Amino acid sequence: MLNVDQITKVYQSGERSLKVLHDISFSIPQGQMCAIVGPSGSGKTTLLGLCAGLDTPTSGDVYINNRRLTGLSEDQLSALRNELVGFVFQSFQLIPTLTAIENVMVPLELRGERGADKMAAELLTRVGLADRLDHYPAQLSGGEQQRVAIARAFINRPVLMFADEPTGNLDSDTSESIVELLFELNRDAGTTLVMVTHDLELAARTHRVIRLRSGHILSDELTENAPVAQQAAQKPSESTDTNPTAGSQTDDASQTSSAPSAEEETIVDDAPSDSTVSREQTV
Amino acid sequence: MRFIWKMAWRETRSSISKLLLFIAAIVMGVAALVSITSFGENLDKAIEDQAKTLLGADLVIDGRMPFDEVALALFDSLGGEQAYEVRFTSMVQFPSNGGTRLGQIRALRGGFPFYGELETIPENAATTFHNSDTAALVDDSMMMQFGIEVGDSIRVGNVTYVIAGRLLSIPGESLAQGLAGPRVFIPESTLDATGLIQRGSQLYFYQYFRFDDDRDVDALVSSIEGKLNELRVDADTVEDRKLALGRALTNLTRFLNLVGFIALLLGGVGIASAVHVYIQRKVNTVAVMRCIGVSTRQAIGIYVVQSMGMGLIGAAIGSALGVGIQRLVPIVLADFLPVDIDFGISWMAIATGFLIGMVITALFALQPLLEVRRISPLLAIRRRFESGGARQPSDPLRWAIYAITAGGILLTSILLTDRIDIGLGFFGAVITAFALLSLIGVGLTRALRKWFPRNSRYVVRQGLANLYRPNNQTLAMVVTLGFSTFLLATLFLSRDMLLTQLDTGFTQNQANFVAFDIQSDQREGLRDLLERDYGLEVRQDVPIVTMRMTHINGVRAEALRDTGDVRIPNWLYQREVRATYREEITDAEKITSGEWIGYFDDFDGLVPISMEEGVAGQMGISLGDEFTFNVQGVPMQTYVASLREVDWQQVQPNFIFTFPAGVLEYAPQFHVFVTRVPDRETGAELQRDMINAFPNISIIDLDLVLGTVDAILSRVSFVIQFMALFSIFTGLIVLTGAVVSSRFQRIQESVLLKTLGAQGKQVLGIMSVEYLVLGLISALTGILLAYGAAWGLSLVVFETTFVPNWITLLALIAGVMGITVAIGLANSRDIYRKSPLAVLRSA
Repeated sequence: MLNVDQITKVYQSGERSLKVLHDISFSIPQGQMCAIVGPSGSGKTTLLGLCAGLDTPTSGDVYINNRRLTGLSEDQLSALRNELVGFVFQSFQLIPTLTAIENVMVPLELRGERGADKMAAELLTRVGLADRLDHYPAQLSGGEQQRVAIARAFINRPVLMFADEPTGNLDSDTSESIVELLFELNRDAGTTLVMVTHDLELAARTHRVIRLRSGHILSDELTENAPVAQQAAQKPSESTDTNPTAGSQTDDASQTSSAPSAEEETIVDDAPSDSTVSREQTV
Repeated sequence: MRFIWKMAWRETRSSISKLLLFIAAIVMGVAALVSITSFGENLDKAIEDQAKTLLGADLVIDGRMPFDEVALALFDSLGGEQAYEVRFTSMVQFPSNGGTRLGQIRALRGGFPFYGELETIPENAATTFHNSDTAALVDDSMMMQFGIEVGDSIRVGNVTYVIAGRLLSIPGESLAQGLAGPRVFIPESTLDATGLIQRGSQLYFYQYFRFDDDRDVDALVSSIEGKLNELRVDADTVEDRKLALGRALTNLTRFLNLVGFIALLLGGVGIASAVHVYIQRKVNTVAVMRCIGVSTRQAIGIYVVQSMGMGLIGAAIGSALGVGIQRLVPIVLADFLPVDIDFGISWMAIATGFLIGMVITALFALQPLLEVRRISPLLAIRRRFESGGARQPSDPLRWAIYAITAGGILLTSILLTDRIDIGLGFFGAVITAFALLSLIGVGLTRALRKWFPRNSRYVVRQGLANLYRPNNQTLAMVVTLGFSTFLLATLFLSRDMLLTQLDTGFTQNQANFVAFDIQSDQREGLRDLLERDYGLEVRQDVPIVTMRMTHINGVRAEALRDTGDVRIPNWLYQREVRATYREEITDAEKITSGEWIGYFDDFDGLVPISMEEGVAGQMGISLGDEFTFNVQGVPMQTYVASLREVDWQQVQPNFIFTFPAGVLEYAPQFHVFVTRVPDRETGAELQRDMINAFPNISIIDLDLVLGTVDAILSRVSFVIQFMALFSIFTGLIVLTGAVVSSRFQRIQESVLLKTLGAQGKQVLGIMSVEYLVLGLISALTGILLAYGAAWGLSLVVFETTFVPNWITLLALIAGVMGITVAIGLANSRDIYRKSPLAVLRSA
């Protein structure tokens, strides 16, 4: 589903360069809910940005559904995000000039799909905002805004959901209901979830927790919530450096990677990049 | 594409009022263009419709010497209905109150005008005049000046006429033409009786024709061209007049159009600045959209569509406004127009203005819209991020946009002026002016920052600091407001300069009273009147001898004119030359080459004369070239012994040709007296006495000239001020837009300040300081440029030393600052009034 292969990220600031991520590798199978935790400055958000194709790694590769992100153009990445990815942000990030329902409709409208308004209304009803469809973000409370954002994230039926501190700007009661909603929708749709948070309690409710510190993976463990199949299939290692991932990935990426997994899913990718990937996928 | 349109509309609907304000920046420019172009079209149509009334006849033949028998025979052979006019300047007097004035006398015989009418009050006055030997028609402006009514008398030379009516308009002539010399029509049958046709009188003769058989007048003129040339007369046809007038008016509308275009460009600068700020505020929205999967092209598309939509609205409003303003233009220009303008909506003009407005919006909005491309989706999850690599390389697309913008402006300039050279010149001037404005604006703001008054009060420091806030529009406002100030200041300075220059005659004890057409036998009497009765000193008594130039270097002038080897100006060819003789050069003259010969009495030899160097240069004459003059029937051979530079601004008769003393003393001649009258009352009294004693003498009272020039200037400057208004309004709209667009930030700040304990008064103070300084920098920028421009004008056009009128400039600075503060505060009033809580809740 999501494969991260030896990525590093170096920020250049003037003469000095700052290595934010060191050789990170992991892979997340479909349907898994994974939390990335770590203190401020550990590289969480940078990692999320790289996974979602918002930024390009200094070295290494990211694959979503076996599609290699490296080398894709900005517009190809946009199209890929629209097709496969959903986002939930800490600060909600609704577009202030659009009403709630319009915010939710945007991803579908982008694809030119019909019936976006109906689907959006259904989703908003599902998140409990049936009577708020035509309100502008400024007219909604924080919790309501995040519900709209979640509805927006799910409307394009993404296979991969990124959540960046989804409860960071909310009070604890509201947080609880938002998390419930997020997890519920996620389960129902079978979406893979990657969530960045510094809330360890929240992280413990996912299937898997990856701890980051200073750009290194400190630990990568399944929690007790993980389905039995996952626990059996994968025994997370102590640190990334020993995590078995694709060893010698070449640029054309046409080989089969040795992902540490069981379930097979072969996808022939028709993305307009030079990388036609056919590989085994893990669960 | 559907998505882009949809999003563009959604982005627009909630903030349409704010966006409209940005777009208002182009409204005035488009309005100016549409109104001027419409006006131009209507003018062309009026000229076409009223073509024949431009001339009042089918053909006019005019000359500077009485028509001889050959000419009259030619006129007879042409046939048709004819009229005859002799035109000259002379003093007129109103016996009822003794007022006197130099007027333009037109002694008329026959039914001129054949086309169009002499417009008069009462309406039938022209008929009365044509049927009477004792009636005159007098320019309305002069009658008002002297408080004269219809039925009063006017004296021209020795004849007194009854004023049959006020003259309002003459076909083909504008009101402004009557300002310098108010027109008086008298019957030609009384011309001799006036006693004004004497030696030295400058006379113009006109023969008007009307042909009822649709003959081709232009072909007719070509066929008799040789004869006309031989007779030293000119022929003027409707077609000629139309062309000449068209040229003049095209120049006028071209100039006005460019001023309108400047307003539009200023609006463009405002738009660029507003779009820049707008996009800065949309960074987050764009980042989120990019996360969701909107491509860069789509994101730009949304804002391009939005800008173009706004441009469309702005251009539409501007066009509608332009159609309305179009009605004002003829009022402003009425005095300069020789035709009556009918209103018509010119779709062509509307389309042109609309299109140019859209193009300018697109060009200026595009450049800041490019910033959208650089908004990374990463911004949705982090506020700021360090860029991954080194600085981004220079953007070729940005340079392409700059090039397209420059090309668009150049193309529009050429389109508007219809001339490549003028378009290029204008483009260069605009780029230079904008560059200078930006440079001065940036320099002043930098200087302010460098010498920041760190020890001043908090309110002052905060107000100044606001000018550097992120996304400030200081530069855009300095450029737009500065440009408006520049236009106005240049205008005022030039006007002051002209008036000061004319005024020196009064302030510097120079001569201010010139009497001319004095016959030799009147000299003694006039000298007595001046010296004995008025105690005035005759400063100069200049003899004038009239002659005709017949040969240059032994070749007949007529022949030379055909070959074109020597360029003989019309005045020299057709007119009698007025020359003087004297032993010394005057203070106003300087010999630049050759030798001044003051005395010569060898009647058989070549007479050494001196020639004005400018005219000599134009004609291609150099030292040693020979002229033959016919001095009242006696041929006189001369050669150019020296060239003189002449300061034409001195109040005294100046000459192209001067002869040495010794050869012309016995030629028929007349004289010019130059003196100085101490005050206006004495001048008026003297004029009255002189007219009574010597009716043929003409007087130029500089006081009156000054008043006339002032009147003409104020009409011209009214036109320019009217056009400058468009720029000023644009500047104010840009200012308003800038204030409104920074409103959110301002509200936050003022709330924060109030929460920290600032008084409403202090918040107000901070804003006042900010706008005061902004106004000051803009005004200074404009005035610095205007100072340079006026200095250049003084050097090249007015040829005088440039003494700026500081009072005008200070008033202008104060005005610009006042308006800036007023607009700024008016748009922020609820910001400083709002209570902190109300804002915190809504935020």
